[in-house]
Amino acid sequence: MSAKRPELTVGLSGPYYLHTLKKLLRELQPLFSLSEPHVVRVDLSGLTFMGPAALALTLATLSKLRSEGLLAPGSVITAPRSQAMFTYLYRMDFLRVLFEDAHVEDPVERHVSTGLRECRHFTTEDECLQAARDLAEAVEEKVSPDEMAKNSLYVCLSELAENVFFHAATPYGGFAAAQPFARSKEIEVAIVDLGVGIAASLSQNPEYAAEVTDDLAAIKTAIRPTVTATPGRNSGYGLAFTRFLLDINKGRLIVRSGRGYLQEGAHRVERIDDYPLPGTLVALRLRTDRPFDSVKAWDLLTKAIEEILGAISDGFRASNDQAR
Amino acid sequence: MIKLADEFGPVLAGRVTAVGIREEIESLARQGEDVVIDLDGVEAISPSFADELFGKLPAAVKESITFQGGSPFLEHIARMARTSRDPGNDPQS
Repeated sequence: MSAKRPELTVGLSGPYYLHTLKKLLRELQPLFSLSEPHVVRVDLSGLTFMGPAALALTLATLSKLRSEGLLAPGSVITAPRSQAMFTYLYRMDFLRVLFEDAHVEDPVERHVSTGLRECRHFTTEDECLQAARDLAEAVEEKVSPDEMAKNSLYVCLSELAENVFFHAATPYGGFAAAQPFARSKEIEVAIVDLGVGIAASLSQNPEYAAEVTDDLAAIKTAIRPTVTATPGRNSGYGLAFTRFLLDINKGRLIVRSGRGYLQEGAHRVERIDDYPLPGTLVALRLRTDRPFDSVKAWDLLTKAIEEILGAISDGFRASNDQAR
Repeated sequence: MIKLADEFGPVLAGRVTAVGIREEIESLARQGEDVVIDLDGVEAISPSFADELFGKLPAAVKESITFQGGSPFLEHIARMARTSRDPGNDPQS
């Protein structure tokens, strides 16, 4: 006779916005620390809203548990009572991504919604780029038919998605989602991984190991240009470029890793939280009424790099004056 | 000539993609060929792509390369990526 598996119930209720993610982290803590299979009951019956960051984080958590075989037979997800929330979870492909190997039927007709993108799971670089391209298109739909905006977002999101690929050191990859918020004229894009986190990643580089005194210090270090855990392979431009792009847009860049929390842009916030996120969450709140301009972001990035490394010069040849 | 937009579209992103192009350039340069990289049609380049393609080119290979068709903006990116990996600037060197 097999031994009875231990049980664990986690209840998520009410709304989960980007700015109330602390509550979600508190409620997910028991799942983060699971080390042996449990019969897990995830009660979503009281759920009324989940923004992209909350959705991606919850999905990443359950997906990892499932991949690690920690969800014992009998584990169950109780659907939200709210029909709208129930439909939204399907619409965002929550179950389809969680049960990637199963066929999940939509219970309702799927309508195209501009700016909204289903949850994405990516593990390879191709999948990173596809997710970035898809999320960028979502943003473009809500902003303007402007190639610059779409291209800038694609560039920025490809960097963030690739950070998961190169730095998170997790076989479970990353998760992403996007949704527009009409009232605040913003679109939220979130990318989450449950990898080693920024502090552990950055500590690999002896140059920054001393600076990384805690999770917040690690995040603040990581968003500086040229800072990378692996200088031989990577450049440390991605997060810095994203920060400059958001500065121009007057949007917000939010980075959570471990207990660290940093919000750059309008209303800068930094703090150490009580409940750690075992990995990294990067969320962008982009203003849909402001431009995204990668040319200006590159200009700011170049100036910042010049401040660190000195004036730029090179030995390339060019075949015409324009290229020089 | 390597026309990047024709092969990879108007937005160049992805470090792994850039590795393949850099290796192709290095191979051509080793065979003694002058390599022309045509940036016409390229609208944006990601920092990782620029670093991987321009930043990691060996100095000897760089001398065999000519750019054409790029805007001053794209040339700026190439310079920036190249310079940040110059031995004198590399904290790991």
